[in-house]
Amino acid sequence: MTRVFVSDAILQERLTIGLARPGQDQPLRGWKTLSALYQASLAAYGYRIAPIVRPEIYKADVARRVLGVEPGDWHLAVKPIEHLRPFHYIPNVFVCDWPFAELSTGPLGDSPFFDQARLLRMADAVLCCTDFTRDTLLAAGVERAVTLPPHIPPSSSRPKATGASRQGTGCRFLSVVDVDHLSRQLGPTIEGFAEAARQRDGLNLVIFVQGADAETLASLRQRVVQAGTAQGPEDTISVLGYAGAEAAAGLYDSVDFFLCADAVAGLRLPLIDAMLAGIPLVTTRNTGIASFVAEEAAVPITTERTILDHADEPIARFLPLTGYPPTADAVRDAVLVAAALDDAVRSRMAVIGRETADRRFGLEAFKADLSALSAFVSLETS
Amino acid sequence: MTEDTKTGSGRRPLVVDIGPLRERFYTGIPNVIVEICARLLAEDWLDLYFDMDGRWIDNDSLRRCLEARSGASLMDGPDRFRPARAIRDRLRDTGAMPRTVALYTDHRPPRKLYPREGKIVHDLSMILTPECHPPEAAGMYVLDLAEQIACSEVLFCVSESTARDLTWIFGVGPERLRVALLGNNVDLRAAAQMRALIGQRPVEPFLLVLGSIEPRKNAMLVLQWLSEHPQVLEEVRIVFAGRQAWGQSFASLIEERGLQAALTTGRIVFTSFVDEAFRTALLVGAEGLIYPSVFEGFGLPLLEAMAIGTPVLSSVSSSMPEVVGDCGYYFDPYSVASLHTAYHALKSDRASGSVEAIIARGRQRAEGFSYDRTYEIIVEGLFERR
Repeated sequence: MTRVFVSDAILQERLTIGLARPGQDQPLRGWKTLSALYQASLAAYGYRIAPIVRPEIYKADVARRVLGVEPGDWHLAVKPIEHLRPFHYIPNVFVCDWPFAELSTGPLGDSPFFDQARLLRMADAVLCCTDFTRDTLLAAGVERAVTLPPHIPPSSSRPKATGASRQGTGCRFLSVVDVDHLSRQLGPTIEGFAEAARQRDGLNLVIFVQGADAETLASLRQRVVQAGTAQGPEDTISVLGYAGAEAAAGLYDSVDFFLCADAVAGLRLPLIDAMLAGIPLVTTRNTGIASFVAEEAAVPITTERTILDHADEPIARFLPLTGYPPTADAVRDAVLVAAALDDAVRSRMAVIGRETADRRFGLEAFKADLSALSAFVSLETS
Repeated sequence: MTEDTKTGSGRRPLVVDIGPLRERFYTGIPNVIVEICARLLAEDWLDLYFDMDGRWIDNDSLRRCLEARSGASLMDGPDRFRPARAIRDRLRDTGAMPRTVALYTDHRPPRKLYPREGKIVHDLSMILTPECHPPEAAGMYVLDLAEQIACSEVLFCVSESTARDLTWIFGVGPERLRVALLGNNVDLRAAAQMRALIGQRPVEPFLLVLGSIEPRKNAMLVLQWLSEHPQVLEEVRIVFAGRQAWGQSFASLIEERGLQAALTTGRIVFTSFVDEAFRTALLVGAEGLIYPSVFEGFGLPLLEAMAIGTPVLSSVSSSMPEVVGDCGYYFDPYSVASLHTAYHALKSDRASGSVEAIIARGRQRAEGFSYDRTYEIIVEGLFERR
């Protein structure tokens, strides 16, 4: 059976057995989640999955024999661009979820791995998680870029679709952000929502911070207090954190809106989870999100184009990166618009969102998209 | 040398940066540079200038250092040597600069100093396995590496593996790459003396793990293997020979795997640093060499073991298969199961006697690695001869 060697380890994770091996609690867990989704998708298609830590070291024929590499096997790397490494002499497919319009097309700084376009051009194919990323790569001369997000199924840690649109009439909002990307994902959510809560009774927001430690949570709670009114918005805005998937179970239950104030985004999995659960969206709609969120499925948060000061990317030291952050006022306005929507509109938004997500991220879509890869790698599974 | 390299007025100027020879005790890279410098000094068609850390080292001082295999004599009172800029002044003053070639034996300045320059690239471990090095060391190495590579007309890689890394990482084209595999300078007389000393005395079987204790050398794979397969320690002792470098200490690696008793009873032995004689004795006496390194630019200890006639259990990573060929027992440096399989293959071949054929092939293969050839490729590349 054809094997796909999957590499998703970076830095300390690439040390050999017996040394510290970061798991879910470590940075870049979003890439691990993405990798798991691709692995499950390829397994469902019929491929055998073989994890590999450091693919670039196996260069000789005998190395491939020791690993049992057969003709037709290929390598899938799921990690940030600067960490991509090849598996020499077999087809290399790189996953790219780059959320910015800018892509470096020459060496920058000290690292040769900051020449993003060159690295990506070394792949036999690049699987882009969104059309936005594919278009960015094509514009930079990465010709073998195709849009091929993984199949995103409902799971125990994700909400189950109700089968019908949600009929929520309350104003319970949920925001899920990653501790590694707080500045780009959280933005002025707290301040904007606090202002909305001052203007309309009954609004509640839960902010889940994936991977947050106690210090981060305390800092964010302090920010909630600082954004508060005499009524105490800390009762209106709750900041929670978790590290494991189990703690996320039920996260989406009883939620009326999913709030996303991202300045940039690639494949924003919590937002897609919300769509699959039939939760209406209140969201910015730029970069990757515009690729899979229909206008009719969301209450838009207006944004302004700007060069990001804190882009959460190592290459931002050398390459100015554009983002589209909202203001606190824009968040406030969108929340108030959403809270005032009637049931029929909410229901229509939920249905559109769920149908879009089902269509775009269903297994059938993955299998259909995978055929685009046949030009670059073998799709034989046995 | 052919006449074309002697053309022009007199000898051909060659500036050689010999930075690695500053070490007090030569191992690894300094030993390679010794071989190259010794051959350069024997040429009569070259006008040689040696630069070490900004000092112009005269030929006689260098000869003494090569003989002693130590840079101690160069480092004691370095101010007695002229500044290296005097080399450039002389080449300019004599009009020889346009014909001058330079060889950098490891690091080089990130700017051009001579019309044609070559650099030896030993490995790209610092950039490909930064997590296996102290962060400050990896950072320093990478700092201007791209410029160093960009301003070298020719890059001498000590293995095909390193050449491929250069191509992938820096986009270096084949026209600038020369693969100059390292040579075999094993002192077989010393090995024979050790063998004679051991003679017919019973030596309890042991496997030797050569290499410093640091993440890249991957001794922990062997320790993990022993903790999962303790019966191995009833069959052979395991001797770890190498200095404690950086990262987790050997003692704590042992403790984490519950192997303290094996260390106490001598089933596991940790020698720390060993000198050349002790090292040779260990290689001669060992049932086999285990070399579990995650990444190498070449893999000299493997060549050494093969030359001596000690079978090798080799990591299948990077350049190591280029050294070992079909004369060893390979394993994946990330897999205990793979190492266990390799061990059993050796054990089985020992029992059947077929290991002798592998040892013989290994000896023959090792003889094919010659510093004369390494040198020839470097000279050809420097002076644009194909």
